[in-house]
Amino acid sequence: MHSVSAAPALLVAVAFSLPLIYLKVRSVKFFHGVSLVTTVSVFLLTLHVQHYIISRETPIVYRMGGWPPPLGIVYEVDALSALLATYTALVIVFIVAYSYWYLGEDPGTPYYYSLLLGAEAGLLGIYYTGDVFNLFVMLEVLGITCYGLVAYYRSSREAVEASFKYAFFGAIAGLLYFVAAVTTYASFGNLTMGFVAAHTRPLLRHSYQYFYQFIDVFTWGNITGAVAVIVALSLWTFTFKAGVFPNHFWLPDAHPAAPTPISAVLSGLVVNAGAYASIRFLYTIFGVYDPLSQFYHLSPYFSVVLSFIGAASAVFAPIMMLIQRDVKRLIAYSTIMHLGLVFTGFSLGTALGVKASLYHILTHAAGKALLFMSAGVAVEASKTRRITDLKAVGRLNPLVGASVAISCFSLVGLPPLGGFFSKFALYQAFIEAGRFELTAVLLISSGLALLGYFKIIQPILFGFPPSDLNTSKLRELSLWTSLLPLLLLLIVLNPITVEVLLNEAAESAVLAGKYISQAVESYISYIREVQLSPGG
Amino acid sequence: MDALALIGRILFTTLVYPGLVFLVVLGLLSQWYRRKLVARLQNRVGPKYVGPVGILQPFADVYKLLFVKEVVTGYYTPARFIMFITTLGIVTLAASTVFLPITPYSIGVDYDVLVFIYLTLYASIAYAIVGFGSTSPYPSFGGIRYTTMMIVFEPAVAISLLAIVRALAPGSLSIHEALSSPRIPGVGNPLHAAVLVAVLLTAGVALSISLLSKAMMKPFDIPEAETEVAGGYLAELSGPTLGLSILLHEVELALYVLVLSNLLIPTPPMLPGLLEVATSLLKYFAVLTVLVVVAYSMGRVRLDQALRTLVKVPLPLSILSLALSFLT
Amino acid sequence: MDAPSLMGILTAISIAVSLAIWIPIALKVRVRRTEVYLSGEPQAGYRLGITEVSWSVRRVFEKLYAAILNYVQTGVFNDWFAISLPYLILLLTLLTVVTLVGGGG
Repeated sequence: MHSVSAAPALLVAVAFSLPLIYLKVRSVKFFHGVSLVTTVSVFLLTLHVQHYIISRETPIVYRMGGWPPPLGIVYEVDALSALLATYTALVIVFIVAYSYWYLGEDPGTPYYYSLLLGAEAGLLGIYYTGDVFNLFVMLEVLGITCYGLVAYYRSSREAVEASFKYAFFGAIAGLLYFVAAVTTYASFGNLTMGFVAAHTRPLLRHSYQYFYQFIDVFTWGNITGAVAVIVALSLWTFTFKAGVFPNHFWLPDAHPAAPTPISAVLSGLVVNAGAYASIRFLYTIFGVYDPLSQFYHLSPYFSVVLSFIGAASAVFAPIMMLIQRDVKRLIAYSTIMHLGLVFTGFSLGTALGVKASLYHILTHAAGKALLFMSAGVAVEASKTRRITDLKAVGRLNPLVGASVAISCFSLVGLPPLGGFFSKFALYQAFIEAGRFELTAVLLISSGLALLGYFKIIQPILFGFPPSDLNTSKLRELSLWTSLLPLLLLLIVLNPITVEVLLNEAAESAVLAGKYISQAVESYISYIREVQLSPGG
Repeated sequence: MDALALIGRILFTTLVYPGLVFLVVLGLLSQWYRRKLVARLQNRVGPKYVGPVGILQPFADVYKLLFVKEVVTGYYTPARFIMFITTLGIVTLAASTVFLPITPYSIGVDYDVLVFIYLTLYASIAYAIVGFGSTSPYPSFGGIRYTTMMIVFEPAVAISLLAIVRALAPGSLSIHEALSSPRIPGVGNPLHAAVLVAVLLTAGVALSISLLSKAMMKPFDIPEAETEVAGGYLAELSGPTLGLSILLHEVELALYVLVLSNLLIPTPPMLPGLLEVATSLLKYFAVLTVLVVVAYSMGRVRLDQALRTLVKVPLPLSILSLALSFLT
Repeated sequence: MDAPSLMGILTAISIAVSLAIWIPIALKVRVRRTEVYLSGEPQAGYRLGITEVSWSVRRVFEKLYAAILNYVQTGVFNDWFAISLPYLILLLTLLTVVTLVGGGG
């Protein structure tokens, strides 16, 4: 199974070679084409990985450089990570198509794509990795490319300031996560997620005695106190990445300052990495919500903490949405709100909650990317981000109008768009868990956000039709190829299409047994290979 | 269940009874009733000429508007789009009657209260778009006023509906089951009955107040204030657009009062079909009378006062009722 | 049947039915455009005067917004630590205490 590593490797290779090629090839169109081909092939690779995992029904472990798990780095891909990676790769294809419309002949294009593909490599790495330290590396890859992308308009003071804020906080967050990784290594004796997860589940010891004799080789230290530090530091980092309430400060500055396609990447996809990493750490690795784990008694505290920060951002962000004057800033606050809802979803600790969270991640990613891209058309046409000065481009190009309206309505949760079904899943999870306060929070935040979205819809769809507008750019084909697929995606993201995938992903997050056994199996098979080989 | 038979049932309930035809008739009848009642309160006569005691007046108004051949609107008002969105609002309201158990064809599934809440959201969005759709200042102010109130009354309506349904049908959260289950407080556990009554009271008050603002009735008729903003969101409309907007308003009010009255007032169990419909209608007109009398004995408030009232009374009450309902 | 699929059927039927009602009406009517209604004011130089959709929200919740803008979302770089550091310290102390006292392990 080399296609697991093929996708990030291809991305990194292309990302690094684009600036070199630019020395020889001066045609900007060439770089658009190369990036499109790269992202499409990466999507096909991730799709292949996902198909393989779904058909095999077990996670796959890929040993980097052939080194076995606790010594070398592994990529471990289960249904959860495969789903998010495939979806990320899919949405990025449309964002690259939009970049062609947005950037046109911009001379910085090769560097832009170099950073964008690097960010995609970081995202895929975060989803695919099975190693705590490699996750740190991938978070940094993602972070550094994103700081660069936010400051793409380096002559704009606002962009540089936003990028600096983002980078500064990102450096602190990265440092804290690094301390968490070091603590993991000091107490668990290894950094492989599957092995760390095996240590936290002493109850498995009786049934998998054969496995544990291999695992115990690498263990020293007392893990009980260390886990508190590890989880606290890493959760802080992940809430920073996800832009959830106490650590959301950078987000409303950084997302609007970036070029529009990058805002779509940041708001739709990058924040999901924080939510994914939180799910991976709390569910799979430390088993806070797993009755088999020795840290299961922490689950009520985590439930309170996570649902508090989730609910706080779900209420705080729409309140701030109401008073925004900058359209991209308004959409950025909406991201905080939706990520808050995602956090409340997996705070419950049930498979239903994780499924609802994942579903909301998917519908939010498509809706938010589409909203940024279509509102970005209005921003481009009006040369301002002030909501009241936006030109009514929805009257000139019905596709842009429909995209703005449908993405807003999907984020509100209007049926039959994807947003309704993910919110329905959230309601269902809250009510089954008996959490009335979260149900009320979800309803109140949706109601508050309604006015926020109408603030965007009103000028773009129903303002005065602009007479002084160069409309040829609004009719380009590349706009259709990027907006229309996402629009259709929002319509088809209903339970008929994604229910099976979500169930598999949620089950794989909640029940970590297969994840652990695959990691250990990989080590054992390596030992056997070495013993059987002549001279080994 | 056979899929075709199911779709046939839904089509019948949506289009005929208790959907489109029934709701339109009921809504227009209650418009006549409301106008008559308000006229009596204000020492006027009210509609008089069309039909016996003027009962056909609303029908005549809407008929005349709907079949006008020409729409006159301000520049840039997307008249045909407004027609579509209001029609969609009316039809989704009609479709959400599929849960009302006053017909043998009604359908109930688990969690259908959320389906009801989100399906009726189309009507609110239609109002907002009717307001925002015009570039004229008056409809735009109507739209702003409506959406501003919407951020509070939509959650309040949804939370209190959820609370009532959670109290009446705790297992399934089905509004269909909540509406059809025999509910005599005091049966069974007295503590449970006390909680039930508390939930019904708090949620009933919250739902009624937020319904007044949702249906733009008197103290909250800010979006369509004639004297200030020239009819608000209706100012630029004429012909079918105006007729459909009026129809949307009446249908929404009728549906919500029908649901509210049947949720709040306990029904003796096991009534035969036609009698059940009759009692539902009786309850409907009783609750409508109370709402109209209370509403029209008050004057219009300013938008900020309305927002303050909505935040202080219905929203906390609805959250309280939801908390109570999870106690049972 | 579950609620999401019922919702799908209901919205599909609603959209189909409303299209069926709307198309005849929309085809039949003529739309005549006039000047917008301005209570008799001249239209020359008129521009839609909505500067802020949510002005009344801001007015009603003045204190809330003042509190948020003064203490939480100030936009000043270092104010962020006043909220984020306590959050980190809280997480650390809470988790350390419950892990050690809770007797797991």
